[in-house]
This record gives sequence, structure tokens and C-alpha cells, in this order.
Amino acid sequence: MYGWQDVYLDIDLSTGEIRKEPVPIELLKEYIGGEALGTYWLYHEVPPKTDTFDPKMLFMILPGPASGTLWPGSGRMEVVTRSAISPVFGDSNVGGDFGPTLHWAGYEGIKIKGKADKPVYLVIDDDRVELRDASHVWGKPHIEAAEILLKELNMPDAKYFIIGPAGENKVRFAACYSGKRSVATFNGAGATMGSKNLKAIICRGTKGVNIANPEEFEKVCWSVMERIMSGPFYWVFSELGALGVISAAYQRVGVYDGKNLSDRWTSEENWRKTGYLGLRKRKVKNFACYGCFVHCKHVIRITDGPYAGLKMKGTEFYPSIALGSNLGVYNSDFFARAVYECDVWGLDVGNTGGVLGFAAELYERGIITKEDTDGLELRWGNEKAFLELIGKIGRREGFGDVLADGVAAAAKKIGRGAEKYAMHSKGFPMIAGAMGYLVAASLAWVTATNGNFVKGQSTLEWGEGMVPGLAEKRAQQYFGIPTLKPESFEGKEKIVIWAENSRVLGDTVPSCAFMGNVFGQGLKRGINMEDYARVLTALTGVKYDPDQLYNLGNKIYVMQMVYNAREGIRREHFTLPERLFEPIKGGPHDGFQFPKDKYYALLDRYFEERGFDPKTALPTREGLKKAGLEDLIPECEKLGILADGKKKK
Amino acid sequence: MPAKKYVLSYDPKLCTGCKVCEFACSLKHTGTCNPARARIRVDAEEDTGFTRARFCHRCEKPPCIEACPVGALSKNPENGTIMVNEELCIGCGECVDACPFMAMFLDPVTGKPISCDLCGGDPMCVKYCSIKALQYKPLGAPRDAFYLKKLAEAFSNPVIQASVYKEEEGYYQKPKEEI
Repeated sequence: MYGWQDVYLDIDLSTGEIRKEPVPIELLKEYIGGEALGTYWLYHEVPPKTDTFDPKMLFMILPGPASGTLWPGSGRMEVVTRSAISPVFGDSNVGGDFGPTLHWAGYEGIKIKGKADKPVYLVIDDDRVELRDASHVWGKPHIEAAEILLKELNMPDAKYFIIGPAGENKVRFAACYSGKRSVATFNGAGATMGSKNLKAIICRGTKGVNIANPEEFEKVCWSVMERIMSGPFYWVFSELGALGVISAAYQRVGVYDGKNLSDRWTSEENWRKTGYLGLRKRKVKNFACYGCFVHCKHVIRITDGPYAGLKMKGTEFYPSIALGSNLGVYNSDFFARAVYECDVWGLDVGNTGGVLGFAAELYERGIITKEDTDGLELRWGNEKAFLELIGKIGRREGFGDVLADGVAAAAKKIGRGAEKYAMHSKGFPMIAGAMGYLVAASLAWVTATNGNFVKGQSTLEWGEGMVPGLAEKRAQQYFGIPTLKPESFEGKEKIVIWAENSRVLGDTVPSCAFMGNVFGQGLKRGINMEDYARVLTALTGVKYDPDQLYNLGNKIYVMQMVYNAREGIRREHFTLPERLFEPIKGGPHDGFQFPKDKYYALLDRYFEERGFDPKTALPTREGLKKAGLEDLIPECEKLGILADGKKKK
Repeated sequence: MPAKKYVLSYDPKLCTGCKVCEFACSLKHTGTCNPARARIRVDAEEDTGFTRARFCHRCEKPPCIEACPVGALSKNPENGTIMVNEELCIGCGECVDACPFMAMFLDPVTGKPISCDLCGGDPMCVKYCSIKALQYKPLGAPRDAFYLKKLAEAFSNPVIQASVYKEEEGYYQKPKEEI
């Protein structure tokens, strides 16, 4: 076959059975791969309300047909399972070299179920696939464990996908690592992998990806690359990285969160010490993810100060806030060091920042004391205490164990009014991203099916929306709404729906979020549906058209929303933290208050547009029909999750 | 032997280790995307930023030719690249071992050695190297400061200045001519 590989790996860890199953071609043609195929399998093959740590839960790794090709930003893969933090759909798109290598080895994906009775790891060497004992690396950090495994297998050039100690201890926001520093974050995929007693997957692939029409494929790839490179945004992004561009953009927007959202503005002086500007002096060079021509990461080396000696491939924008201003630490060296510490234990940085900021606020307010925190003084800016607490969370030790189930669960455990200070939506921390000012961004975070920051985000508000004239022009041209300006509510649900649907294709084909039309300088230059259609046609030899792909994005997103409804997510779970509706203190928007009524009216409009009932956030018959999901109606009816169906008492 | 007119020039300080050149090379030569069949390889170490590209340097006295037990390798008189006579080649891999630059590879599909053939004068890897760490230039000519030029252009764009970058912040430091 072209593009797609012939088989996927179906692995039952309970019995140790490994099967190579062909993927039905009709299914591939319709769902393509990656997120779309993963959503289909998760929805149809896992019984409703199966717990994330139940052996019946599927853990899927799906590279997508273009993974490991010349297609821009295709060095990625999709991890699909249920989230460990909340009962919602849980996917995570991760870069690094593992996804492409798995694809070259000849597999369209790995579907894992069951639970091994002792720690195991999976080895894939082209056609040879076996499960091996991993007891000797259980408990070891991911890089150390991987080096031991590669050595004992005598496969120094193999790639790995692995969890750290946090995943083994089922910390609910543990991460999986594809290579050294590419992380599948936010949904606790590491905990799911750990719950199956699967430490690692090691893979070597030399078969490559066949291409139906190589000349045409090359032409499409080049035209997209050329177009992206013709704009200024590509070069700025290349030089400053995601960290530099987004942190500067939020500073420009005028909302820069800190201290568990009790600060909505970080002074210019502090901002200069954190994030990119602080880290710039540590930068060795720009560095790319695997197979990506946008090299938006930096390699950093810290040569002086308390963290001297640290060198790593550096980091994203989100951790610079989560582990920076969110903890009241205005020292970019610390945030790099904290990310490193998270990597040692195998923790997701966003959620870790969330629980640390939450704990620090409780401590500052006297709700918890040294007795609760095992003697740690969790004051704002106490770097040493935070670093120690990260390790405690990874080991699930003492106070770390309280925080290891995520911010919402920790608030419940602590009690004493702590819930008020838990900044989360559906259990996922919300501590950065100018929420409560950027309208579409605030909506997208709440509606994201996997609770993730990136799902429905776009550059449109803080990029084009900040440029007078352009904001109106693009808004009218593409969405038929008056403006893209951050504070405007009108029609913003359309932007979010467009971004969410487009993003599904990015995670399916795949291409990086920064490359797609969502981030890649908005609508004009980034990869759009037409490009996806052209490249899939050239790659697989199956004809695709742009509308068909956009509708697939819509269908998959709605399927994920139905999945969440099936798992018990209702309208009351779609909330922003109350703190975001309080007036902003300081900065250019001093006194600005995010209008609550307008925000929830916007959410209503979002549900209506999606074909869901705004009161309950349940699907409607009509909405499902519109999305092409008639076949879900009978099951929804049976489960009583149709808004206009007969409700079971 | 004719003098080399053009060389493939590689700047490790600029290279970001993205390996797109490997994809482009394998696509051009095999019609598939498979870095295991590429004629250029990039070694990249994430945590240190070390990068190294391995490709044929077209030695004056190629050790690979000397190492071949059956005389299957020869030098292209046009540009000095290594040509493989696939009928004579026994796939022993001794040329791979002999290359001091680790720039000779065995194709896992055909089992025969492969090395850079400069794509007949228009190297695909250079085309796809986005910041032109790889350049195909006349021997002795200075490298093109392509990336610096593009940066200067991009940072002076009004949209970028309005949405991301303010000059007075010193957010972007103009790089010195030489990186």
C-alpha cells in the first residue's frame, strides 16, 4: 500500500499475545489514521464508562500516513487513550523520532490493551516484535532506562517511547517520552501506560514509507514549505522559538498570568527575567524536532548560578509560565531546571505547574502549613522547595501523593475551602494563556475535548487580531464576523470551531500544530485543507477533497464530544475558574473585567453551532445527523445521552 | 582528475538537526521516504546541540574504491562522486567500513552501497535545507549569509513589529555578520 502501512500491531498484555492485523482499507480511507482513527477505535471498541486504568482500556499509538515523510512537520504521532485526570477523551500529539520510526518499521499503529502481570517492554525491529521483561529498569528515569535497554538489545540506533517513575506510580499527569525531550503531555498518558505495566517500546524501522506519486508528492511538500517560508512569521518563529514568540505576544496583549492566576499581569521587569529574554543568554543554538523545518526549540546551556551545568533541549512557552511566573519565580534558569526535574520523574510540566502553584497559594493563605507539606516552605519564589516537591510528586511521597491526582482531586482531598483556589476546568489546570481576556482562547480551553491548551487555539487573536485593519479584513474574509480583536465576543465560536476541526486533521495526517493553518501565521500561509487533500492524494493514491477532510475533522470532534458526554461530562463541567471574571489588576488592562454573562452566552452559541443542547451539553439527533454520525444515535438513545431523546429515569 | 568546481558545504553551527535532508534525499533517489536509504545522514544530539552531517567528500584517493575487493566502485570523472557497479558489487560492506567520514551506507532494501551523487548538480538536500546550513557553492566562494538576511527582513516587517516584537525591547538582537 502507499502511504499507509499494511498492518497494525494488536497487543494484549494480559495474555502476551502479539498479532499483526491488517487495517480494513475502507476504514483507512475514511478515517485516514492518527487522531481520527484513534477516536473511532476508542469510541467503538471500549465499553462506556470503562475506567482509564481498567485493563480493557485501549492505549493507542498512531503515527498517521504522512508520518516520517518529507511532508512539513510530519515527525509526529498521536497517542490516544482516555485521560487519566478526568473522564474525558485523552489524546496527545507528540513529536520526536519514535512515531516516524514506527511507521518505517511497517506499522500503521499499535493498539495495546490488557495489563502485564510484571513490568515489560516491547521491542519492534522491523518484522520482529516481542515482549521482554523490564523489571531491571522499573523505577529508573526515562533516559537512563532507555540507555540500559538499547545496550542490552544491542540496538544503539533504535528509538524509544518510554515512561519515567511517575508513570509507573500512576501519577495522574505522568508523561510519555518519545526520545529525550519530546513529551506526550497533559492527559496522563504515562499513567495509563504505567497502569498496563508497560515501561517502554523500543523500535527500529528501515522499511520506509511508499509513496503513490513521488513527483507530485515532492511538489506539494515544496509548495507548502515555500509558502510558509515566504512569510516573515516563519523566520521570527525559527529564531525566537515558540517560547520567544508567544511570551512576547502575551506581553503585547497585556495579560501575563502568575501566582496561580492571582496575578494577571507580570511587570515588565519580571517578565524580562523570565521566559525567552532570560533564557536568551543561555541559548546555544536553534534546534528542531525530528523532521521539521521549523526549528522552534533551543538548546540551552547554563554556565553559572545555582543551576550551572544544566544542558538540555529547551522548552516551550507553556512551562515558562507554569513553572515560572505561576510560582512567583522570575528566573528563567529555574524554569529550565524545573522542566529538567519534571523530565527526570516523567511528569507533565503544565499540570505540575498547576498543582505547585495551587499548593503555594494554599500555603501563603495559611490553609495548609508545614505540617501538611512535610516541612516544605511553599512560599512564592521558593525555588528549592518547588524542586523538592516535584520529586515528591513523582515518587508519590507524603504531600506529593496528595497532589499527584491533579489539582481538582487535590483540592477535594485537602478540603478546608481549598477548592476556591483550584484553577481548573474539568480537572485540567488553567494557569496561563491570557484566559479571561482573549475570548476565543478562553472558549477553546473550556471546550477542548481533551482539556488541552492547544486543541482549539489559534494565532488569530494575538497575531492578526492585534494589527488594526488586518483584524477586520481577515475576520470578514474568512469567518464573516466583524473583527478578530481579543475582547470582541461576536462570532468567536466560529473561530474556535474552525480551529478545532482543522486541528483534528493536523493530528491525523499528521503535521505539527505550529505548522497548520491554526498557528502557521493564521489562515494565509499555514497548511490548509487543500494542502492536506493534495498531499494525501499524492501520498496514498486515494482521491481526497478539502471539504471532505474538513467534514471529517468536524465529525471526529463531535465524536469526541459524544464520547465525553457518554463518560459523564455535562454542561456544569464547562466552566472557567471564577477568578478569571474578577477585574484585572495592573498592566495595560487595569480594571478590565471579563463579562461572565457574555462568556457563557458565547458557550451556548458554541454548543448550538455544534448541534449540542446548550443546557446539558448533550448531543441532539439533528446535530449528530449533521455531523454524519447517524450511526451513534441508537447507542446514545440507549445510554440516555440524547438531549432530545427519551430520558431514562 | 578534473578540479572540483562545486562543493557541498555544511555549517554545523547553523544546522538544527531536523534531518529533512535525509527525507528529501531518499525521496529523490528511491521514491520512498526512508532515511535508512538516504545518502546524507545527520547525527544530532538533543541535549548538547551537537550536529554533524555525513556525506561523500569525494576524496582524491577514495579509500572506499581501494577497499572494494571486486572493483565495483569507480569515480565519476565528471564530478568525482562514487559510482557503484551493481552487477559486480557483492554487498560485503567493506567500503562502508573504509570510509573515514562514515559517509558510505548500505541500502537495507538492495543491500548495495550508496553515497552522495550530488543529484546531477542540483542537490535535493540543499533545496530542502530551510536555513541553508547546507549549500552547494563554487569551491572557494564564501558562504551565502542566507539566514541572517532572511531574519533581518522578517524582523522589519510591520505585522511582526505590531504583534510580536518591539525594537526598543531588544527582543531580537541583530546577529553579527558571522555566526
